[in-house]
Amino acid sequence: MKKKNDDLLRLAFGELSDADATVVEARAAADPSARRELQVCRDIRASLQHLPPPPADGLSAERLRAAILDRELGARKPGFAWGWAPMALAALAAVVFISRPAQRSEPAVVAMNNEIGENVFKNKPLMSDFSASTNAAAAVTMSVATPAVTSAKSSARFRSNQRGMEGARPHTASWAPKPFVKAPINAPVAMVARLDSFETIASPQSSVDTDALASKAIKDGADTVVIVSGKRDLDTGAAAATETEANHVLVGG
Amino acid sequence: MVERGAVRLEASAGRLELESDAVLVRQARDGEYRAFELLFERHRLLVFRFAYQMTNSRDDAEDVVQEAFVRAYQNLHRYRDEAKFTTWILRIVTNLCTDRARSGNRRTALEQQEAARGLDWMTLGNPVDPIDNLEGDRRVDAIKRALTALPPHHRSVIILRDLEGREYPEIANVLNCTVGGAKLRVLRARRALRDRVAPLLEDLSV
Repeated sequence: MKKKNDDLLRLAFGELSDADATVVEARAAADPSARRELQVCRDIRASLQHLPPPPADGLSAERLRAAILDRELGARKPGFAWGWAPMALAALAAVVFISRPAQRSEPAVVAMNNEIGENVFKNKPLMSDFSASTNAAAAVTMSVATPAVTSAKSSARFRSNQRGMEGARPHTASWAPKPFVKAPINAPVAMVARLDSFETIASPQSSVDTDALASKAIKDGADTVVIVSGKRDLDTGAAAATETEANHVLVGG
Repeated sequence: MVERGAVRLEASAGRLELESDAVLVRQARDGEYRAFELLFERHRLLVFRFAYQMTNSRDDAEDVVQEAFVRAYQNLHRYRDEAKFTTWILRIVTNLCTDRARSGNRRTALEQQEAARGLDWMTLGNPVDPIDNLEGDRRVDAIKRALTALPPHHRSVIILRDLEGREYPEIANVLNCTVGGAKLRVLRARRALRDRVAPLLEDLSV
């Protein structure tokens, strides 16, 4: 019975071969119920063809674009995926590790006392010793604790507010201890650094014409010149520095 | 000779359309959004017609079509070049409609169906023979109701085969089954439709 009805359905929908269609039609002609069934199936097919067409749609490319944008932005909205936190931390640590100051790219910095400073500045072209350095530079301010203050050892602190092109920053080991130990308690601090785009100069207070040095440094290609002048702190006895800025030349310590 | 030439031309045009869709998909995948818009413009009517028959509601159909294209855009990287874009998008629509039907989200469908029925009554048919129109309208109405009442997996294959006239291989691709499986599903769906609509038609003929 089921097979018979399926054949009638196939016949009504035109999905029987010609030979099969002839057989089924002949059978239906001889059987009133099959004939009725075939008519129902044909009515169904005809009615399906006459279903009303859909109304006009209100779709538009603009609406779609807005929906896609919403979805794209929405996909980024949900809060921080905490499951990724360990990986994010690891990545951050890796970035910090990779971008840490490289020892080999320490800027060439020297510190010297009044006599040495005078000697260097007067007898040699400014920064001639360091002109070959390719290190990046950092603005440096420094203060010096002399033996009178710290008695046991000299120390130097510096603060860098400008990372070099290679992430380099001045390293105390290259300039601080040795010269300062030799310097008198109230010796002015002299510091010279020859770098690609930045130069740092600390000069003796009176023995060097700081303006001339600054001009020379700029003429030689320095973007910024820092001149550090040492002063003795009356309360502690430690050498301290003051900082001023004139034009594009930073004078300070 | 002319007929054969026309067939060849048609086949070539079909191939061109297929290639063109594939090219557009590739361009869209490479970030060319305009290419995706072209795909949308090209196929939105077909997709909307299918969605409308599935949902029987203009608003729902629009939502489904839009959602289908959004999902298509988001999943362009999954599109296989050998498949037809229309097949792919129709599969997405079918799945969406099935999901919608499952979630029972057919709030306004019945209201709209009623409204559409009233509108059809007033606007469709042959004005020459109102009696024939009345009977025809009732028959169509009965079919429409029966079709709407079918489960989505039956409804989709009837729409694809009997309303849209899709070939079995394409239906098989949309349904992700074999051609034989597609034929079987169509037969079952017609059987289900017949079981629902026959009593209504018999009532009409009494």
